[in-house]
Amino acid sequence: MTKPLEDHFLAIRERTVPQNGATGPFVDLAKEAIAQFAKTGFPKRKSESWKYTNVTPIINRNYQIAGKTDTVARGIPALNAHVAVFVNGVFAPEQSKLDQLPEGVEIANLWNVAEKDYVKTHLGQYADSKEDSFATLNTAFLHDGSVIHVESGVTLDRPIHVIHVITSNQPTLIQPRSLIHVSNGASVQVLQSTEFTGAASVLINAVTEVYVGYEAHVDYLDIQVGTPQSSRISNLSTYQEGQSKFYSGVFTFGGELIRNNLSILPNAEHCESILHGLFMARGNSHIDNSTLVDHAKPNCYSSEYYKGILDDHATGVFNGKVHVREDAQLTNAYQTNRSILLTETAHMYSKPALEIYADDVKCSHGATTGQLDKDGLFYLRSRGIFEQDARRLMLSSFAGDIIEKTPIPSLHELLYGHVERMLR
Amino acid sequence: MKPILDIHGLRASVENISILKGVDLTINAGEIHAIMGPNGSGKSTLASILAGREDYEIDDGTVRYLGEDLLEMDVDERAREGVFLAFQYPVELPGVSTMNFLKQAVNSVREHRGQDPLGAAALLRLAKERAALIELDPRLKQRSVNQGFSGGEKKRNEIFQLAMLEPTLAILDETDSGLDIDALRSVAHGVNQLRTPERGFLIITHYQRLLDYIVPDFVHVMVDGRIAQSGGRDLAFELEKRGYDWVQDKVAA
Repeated sequence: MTKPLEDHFLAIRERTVPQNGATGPFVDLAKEAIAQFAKTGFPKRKSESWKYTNVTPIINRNYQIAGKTDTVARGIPALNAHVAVFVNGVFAPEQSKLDQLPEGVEIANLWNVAEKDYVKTHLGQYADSKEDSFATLNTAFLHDGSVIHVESGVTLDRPIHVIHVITSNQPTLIQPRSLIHVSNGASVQVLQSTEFTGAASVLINAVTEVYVGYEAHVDYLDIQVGTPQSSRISNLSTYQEGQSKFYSGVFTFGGELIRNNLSILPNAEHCESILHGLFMARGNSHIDNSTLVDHAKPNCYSSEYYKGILDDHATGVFNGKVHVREDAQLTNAYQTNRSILLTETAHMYSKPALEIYADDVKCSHGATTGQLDKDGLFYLRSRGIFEQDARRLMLSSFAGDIIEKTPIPSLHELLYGHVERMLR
Repeated sequence: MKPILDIHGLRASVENISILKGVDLTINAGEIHAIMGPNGSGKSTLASILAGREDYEIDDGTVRYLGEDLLEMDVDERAREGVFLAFQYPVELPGVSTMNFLKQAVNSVREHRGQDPLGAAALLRLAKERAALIELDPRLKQRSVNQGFSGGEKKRNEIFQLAMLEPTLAILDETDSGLDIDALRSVAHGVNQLRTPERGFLIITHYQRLLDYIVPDFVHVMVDGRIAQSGGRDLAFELEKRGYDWVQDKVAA
């Protein structure tokens, strides 16, 4: 059977990364993934987890791999952070500000640290390259990427901000690969954001693997302000050791087609996992958040809260699965998804799911999708507030619930600003 | 001088069921009017129509506010023009911070009046002063609007907003319902402080009790969508003694 789309993508690879594909530290991983990808191919809508998201329109394009340009990142001035800039997926040290990193913290190209134990042990271990063909495709193209490594017991005073600048003068494919390795007892906050310039379509296919050591604490924030031409498939896979804490905040504002896969495996006792998300879409945007918390061991806590606002003809998808394995007694797992539809033509597909095989657990889930509360709107207007302002106040308060819970307070204003812009 | 509110032959219905069947009422500056009446007589419907709720069909009649056609104005426009409704059931707004809400409301009204908007500090000062007027727990200002407030706190919060927005016409829709005697006293105390020669009040209540504390200039009894009887304060005492049946019988006769 011919698979033209898959062959097309593998041909892009042949064309653009011959030298690195033939040699280099990750050639075996990549070769394995190529074979796997040729077999599984892109996801089809008949598969349960892709039922509401059709990727054909965004993969059926003649993508090119862009090289590094000298486009300058805008960054987030209000955020006092260590900054690592990547332009079209290539590290840009001249734009980065990493000179004040404390001892015991390393931000590097994967290629340069390929022989380190933490890369050899963890790279490719958590991303699902077997079932998820986008993760497989990313691995098939793997020749370099980025690493954040924090040694045992080190606490960073400031967040690390990873900025991806993407310039697209022609249809562009970018496949960032990251490994965040946080050793026992260490603590770090990482923010990942993307800046787009150029009018052609962009497909980002990102894979990030996060290892959270024993008693370590990682906050990972992902802020994506998309354009009508930008699509992104993201796979964020986290592995947690005992007594560790992991916060994930996924903020998605627009984009053509966005799929945020988030999977967390708390694989030892007394882990805490927080999954927060805010998505806003208008025009013909499609935003899909698919999450999995796989409780494997007893006494862990997870709390998931995703909110969405959908305008115009936009579509939102929430696929949230909490899996509690037989051994995971005394698990506390909560999951909520709330969405507001602003028009008759916006759609939300919400599928929260608990799969519980242990018998002594506390778990709950819930989902609501509705319109803006009419009584609330009337109340605000009856106090003299213009209708548009009243709607904005209610919607930004709705979103604020997620924003206020982000562990980096200096980002709150920025996030409210994105919300306001989406409501205009 | 034009009356604040002038209602003429107002008829209104909901899904073809007639609720108001010809209401006439005039409120002049400085006056407090109370409308009493049995449940279902149309008192709260009148309040809702004046505030601009769109669930009602206006079948006939006119409502003039300071000489302007009130029914032609949007809800928020009425409020900026100086009409205020203290809700019978104030709405909870989870996540909407009280101070942010007050800022937008107060400044929308101020800008409409050609006044400069208040900054955060001035607003806070004003809020502190007005909250003291009705003995509103200042900590409530730090919460979301009405969220998790007790019945009494919600009603106090309504009068607090009245004090902040300084309307020309204040309509109190069953503000006394669900209040214990202490809350009733402090709400009434607040309203009395807000009586001015320029402001008119329309107080809708089922019980005479509130009128012990807020002394009205006029009392009207609404029965079956009409004002069946009007009088001074004594009418309220009579209703308390004799009940509504007496007026209802009179209407029937």
